[in-house]
Amino acid sequence: MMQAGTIRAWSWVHKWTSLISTLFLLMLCLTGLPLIFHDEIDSALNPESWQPAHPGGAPLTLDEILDISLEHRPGEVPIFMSFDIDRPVVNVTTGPAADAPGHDMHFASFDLTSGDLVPPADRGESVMEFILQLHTDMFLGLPGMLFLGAMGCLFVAAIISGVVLYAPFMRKLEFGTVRRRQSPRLKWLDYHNLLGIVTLAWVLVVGITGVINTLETPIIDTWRTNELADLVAGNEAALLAGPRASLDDAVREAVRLAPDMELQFVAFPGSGFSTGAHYAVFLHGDTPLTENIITPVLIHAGTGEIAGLRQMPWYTKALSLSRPLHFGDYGGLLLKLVWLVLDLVTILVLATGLYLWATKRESPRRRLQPAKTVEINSR
Amino acid sequence: MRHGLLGIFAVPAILFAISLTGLIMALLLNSRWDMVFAVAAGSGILSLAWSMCRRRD
Repeated sequence: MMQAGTIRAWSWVHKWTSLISTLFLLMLCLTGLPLIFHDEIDSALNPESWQPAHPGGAPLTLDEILDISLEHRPGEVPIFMSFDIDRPVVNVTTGPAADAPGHDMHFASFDLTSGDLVPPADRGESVMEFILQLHTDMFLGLPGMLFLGAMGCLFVAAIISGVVLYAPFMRKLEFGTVRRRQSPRLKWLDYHNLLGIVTLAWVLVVGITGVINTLETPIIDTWRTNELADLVAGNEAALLAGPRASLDDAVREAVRLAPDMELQFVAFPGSGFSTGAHYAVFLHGDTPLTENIITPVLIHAGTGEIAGLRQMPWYTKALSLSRPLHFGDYGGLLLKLVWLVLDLVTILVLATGLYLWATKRESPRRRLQPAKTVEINSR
Repeated sequence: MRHGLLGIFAVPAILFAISLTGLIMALLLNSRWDMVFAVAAGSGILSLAWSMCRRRD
């Protein structure tokens, strides 16, 4: 039986964690709505019409593609290389330096059969990129991401305190009760409680994984510092001394070392996902779970020496799994529609919470008691 | 009629378990079960619709 003082304490926690985070969470929920269907929107605005120059022809080597991409961007260095799943297309990201910030990077796609540039399917991309940037870091880079992570932590605290407060408010009510015939405030309080409790699992999963996603940069930096330290030490100079080792050989060797895995992308020396001297060939597993967990094979970019397959530690695996669990893009269209509805319901929870706070401020004398269900100790 | 904690949280706990199972299992298993797990993940929405239809006042 909750005492009045305990309820007041939890109410205070719930009120302030909610109030501080609500506007940002509303922004995240609203920007999240179109992002759920990012792929579908891209496909609808950019219907596939590209065909390779030589369908069925022998592909160029990755080294040739890399050289062609650098000819298109003189003065730049390669940062990432990724591979289309459905088409013979290789994507190359370059920049003025290997550690260039995102807005300085250039992304280009190349026909693997000819080396020709593939026209970008970017109709509507500027709008979606704007929404994604707003959702991810409010255009503030790492400080923005970390700030949103803090808001996510407050949101999780608001959810937990809300669950605690659900008990005293529902002691005399059946599940699903909404008292529509009494005051509007009571009606919306019941809606707030009902909508919040039925979406609890989803909102906790999306909230917690959202917080983890905001920690991507420190997580990857920690991984590089802790797990790749032995490769960093003493290897930087060797790269500068000689020509670049074959990328094709590096990728071939990486795939050979991990026969049960599939190639995902390559990080070049100096990029955020490798050391200053290694190609990091990232592969992912071939099961529904492991396809979200990436594992690198590091190959020295100067000598071609294989440093071996490096298992990712638990915190990077948590980051890998947080992405699909946050975006909801892993279970087909129906799951995305479920994501959409739950996002809308969460917006309603936030809005009703604001309404309840605002109306309570307007009528401070009519404090809402939890349906006379709390035994109050003598004061 | 007053409910104990079990009475208050029984239905929400069941919904939580079903929904969480759907979210996780859709990630772990292949596409054949996607629709089943999507429905499980959205069990809260179904319970909401049921509550609205029953109109407990």
